[in-house]
Amino acid sequence: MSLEISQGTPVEISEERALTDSRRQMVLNMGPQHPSTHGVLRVILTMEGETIVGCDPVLGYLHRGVEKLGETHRYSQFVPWTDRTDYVAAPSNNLGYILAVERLCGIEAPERATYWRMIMGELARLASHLVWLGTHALDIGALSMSLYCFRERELILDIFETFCGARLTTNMMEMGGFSRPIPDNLPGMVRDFCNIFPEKQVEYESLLSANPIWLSRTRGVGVIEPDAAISMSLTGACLRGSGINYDVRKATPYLYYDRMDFEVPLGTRGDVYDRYLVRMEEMRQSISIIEQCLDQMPTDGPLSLTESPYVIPPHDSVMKTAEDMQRHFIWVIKGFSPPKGEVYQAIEHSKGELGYYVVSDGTPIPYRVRLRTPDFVNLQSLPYMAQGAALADVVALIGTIDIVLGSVDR
Amino acid sequence: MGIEDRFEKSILTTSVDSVFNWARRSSLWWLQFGLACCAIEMISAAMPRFDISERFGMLYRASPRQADLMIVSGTVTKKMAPVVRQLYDQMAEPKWVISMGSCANIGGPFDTYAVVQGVDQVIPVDVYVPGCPPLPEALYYGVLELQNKVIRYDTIARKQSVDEAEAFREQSRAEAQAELGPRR
Amino acid sequence: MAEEQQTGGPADSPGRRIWATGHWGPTEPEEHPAVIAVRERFPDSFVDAVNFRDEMTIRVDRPALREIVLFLRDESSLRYNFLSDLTAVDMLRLRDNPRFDVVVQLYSIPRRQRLRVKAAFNDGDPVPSMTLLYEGANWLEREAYDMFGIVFEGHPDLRRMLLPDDWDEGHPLRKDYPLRGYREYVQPGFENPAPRVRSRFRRP
Ligand code: SF4
Repeated sequence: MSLEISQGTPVEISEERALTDSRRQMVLNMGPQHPSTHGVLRVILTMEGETIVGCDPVLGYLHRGVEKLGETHRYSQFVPWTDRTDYVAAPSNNLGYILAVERLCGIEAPERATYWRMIMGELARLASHLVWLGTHALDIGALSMSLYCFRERELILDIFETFCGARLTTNMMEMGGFSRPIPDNLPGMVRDFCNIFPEKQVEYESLLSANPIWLSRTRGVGVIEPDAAISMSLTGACLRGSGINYDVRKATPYLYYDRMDFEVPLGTRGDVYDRYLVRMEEMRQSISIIEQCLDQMPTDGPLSLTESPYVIPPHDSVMKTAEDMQRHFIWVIKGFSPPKGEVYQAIEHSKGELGYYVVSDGTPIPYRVRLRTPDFVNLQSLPYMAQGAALADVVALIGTIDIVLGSVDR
Repeated sequence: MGIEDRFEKSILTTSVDSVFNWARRSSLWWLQFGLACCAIEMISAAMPRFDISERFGMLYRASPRQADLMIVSGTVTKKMAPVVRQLYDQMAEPKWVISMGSCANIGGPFDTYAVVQGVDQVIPVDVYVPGCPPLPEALYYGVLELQNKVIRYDTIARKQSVDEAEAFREQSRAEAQAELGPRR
Repeated sequence: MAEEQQTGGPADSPGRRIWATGHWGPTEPEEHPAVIAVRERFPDSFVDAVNFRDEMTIRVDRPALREIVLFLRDESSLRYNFLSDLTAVDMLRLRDNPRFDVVVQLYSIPRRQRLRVKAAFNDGDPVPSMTLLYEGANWLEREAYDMFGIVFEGHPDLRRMLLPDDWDEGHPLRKDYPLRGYREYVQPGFENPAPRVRSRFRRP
């Protein structure tokens, strides 16, 4: 097997200096090109021997100005950029933005579209957790995990590809629902995946959960106290691993999550291992939510609103009636103008609370689009966790926060 | 110290080249270095379904000093550009660059204050792979194109062209200085 | 067509919406407990309370922002103990004065309620930092400083967050900053690059 990354990692000793007392501190630069920082994160560590005494993450190596782009393009034009913020769970990002704009406009997607949105959101959560599990285990040394995780992730990407033609940057949601029909074989594909996946997950757990190396690398490492977790505004598994019950799907339900029967897994010790268990259990709950959606969903019905001025008119009526033709023309050329106001829509992303704060000034271009991305806020806990930890644990700590640099830096 | 420092172009160097090129083409080791969304597709390409590593003899290395190929997968921001340049400079000759995705090619959808509009402003590029993100199959095609280029690699000519590039760089620096005055 | 869009879309149908979840408390400002409490406790600093799409926004005066958020956090009947988000909006095109709004999104984990607190201020005015109340405000405020140039008073470590440390072109999310910035990237050594083809499509 030729995938070897442990050799030649470019951790460079950038500066070494002696202190006045007998202790010696060393400054160690990790990244921005480092195999286990999950992208272009850079961390400046101050070490005393093997122990970390200072940790300063340096962000912005992938700062692309997404919020500025949101202020200069029309509402519906901004959707593709939301894919590219958190690119391992693109449909969730679409969902958050679309829900925020729909709330601003005061419209609501039809029932069938809402169920499909939930399914796509949960599939995105699974895909994101699989990437997390693969890379996190790879960093800690369980190389083969990533091969298995990416194998199952391809099945999810196949579903996305069947639905919208793209694997990664899906751009699948529209104002008022979906603009594309649901392919006939899609429910079957989703059901197949729900049947296959639980077995595979047992396989992952048999590889990791009782593995002595995995346990010694994760148990008691990176403990976050519950009070500190709330104070640092952590969300997602970082918060729930410490035993705080805050899941946006349960606490402030959006879509039809209040019709679903699912549990919010909670950790007890708040260490890396608990967060691993929480995410594994979340995957199981996601599968159960997808199955419930498939069962409850009306089998046919509209996938998009047709009457609202905020929604692009459907294709056949554009071809048949003059009014819709005009409406389509104006919608495409000029865009739509929501009423003046501001909304904050939070959804439960795979990494935590994803909030979109959209301010409208009554023109077709948003006045301000703010992305409250979960991993940007969660990454603040890295200095807290790294304090006093060993150097080798830093990769485990970065992995457990589950960052994607596109959404950290935006 | 390679053959390029000892010989002028001759029958000996071309036939040695062809042997070396065959070996280089069949074992392009790439720098494990992901920038943005395209990196996820690049990883997918290396994972079981697509398996670019085993098919093309490619192997990813974490250190630039062991790599022949740099796949620039993603957006190059102004903050990241000096790092990309430094990584490129650290790679040993001969080295090749694939620019993967619209962002690395031309800036992609991010025509903003923070993004370099194309990685070819920072480092020379051999093969451009379009797409946002390119499918793993598209990356395959890019690699195959690069292999066709590697097999024609000419050590002596490369040395001359590197010298020319250096001379051009010096010249344009001098011109710019003459025009703008010394750098502030 | 255009007039219809300006005046706000279709009539709201009653009942629960998929996005409006009623987790912002009562929709009438007079009935909202946080509004009542803040108005009673800080009569001078309370400006007004607005409701839009069920979301309650309290506007307050800038100097009292920290005391009011502390009150909202610690008052036993309110307990907004979670800072969801902290950001700013440049109001340059909407009003003359004051220029910025700082927006604090609060959430109460025990009561499952959200609240938004806003304060307006001018360029250069120091804004009270929230880092003493919520550690999570640290990076959010650094980001707001980076993007808008807002100085947070009492912040332990206010420096650039996302842009390079030596960035000297101002603060990009201000409304008077162009989308493409002021300068193109120039590689050291190539100070006079050929213009990119893309610049043909430059917007006004
Ligand atoms: S080309 Fe597209 S997918 Fe690739 S890095 Fe750029 S935005 Fe992401």
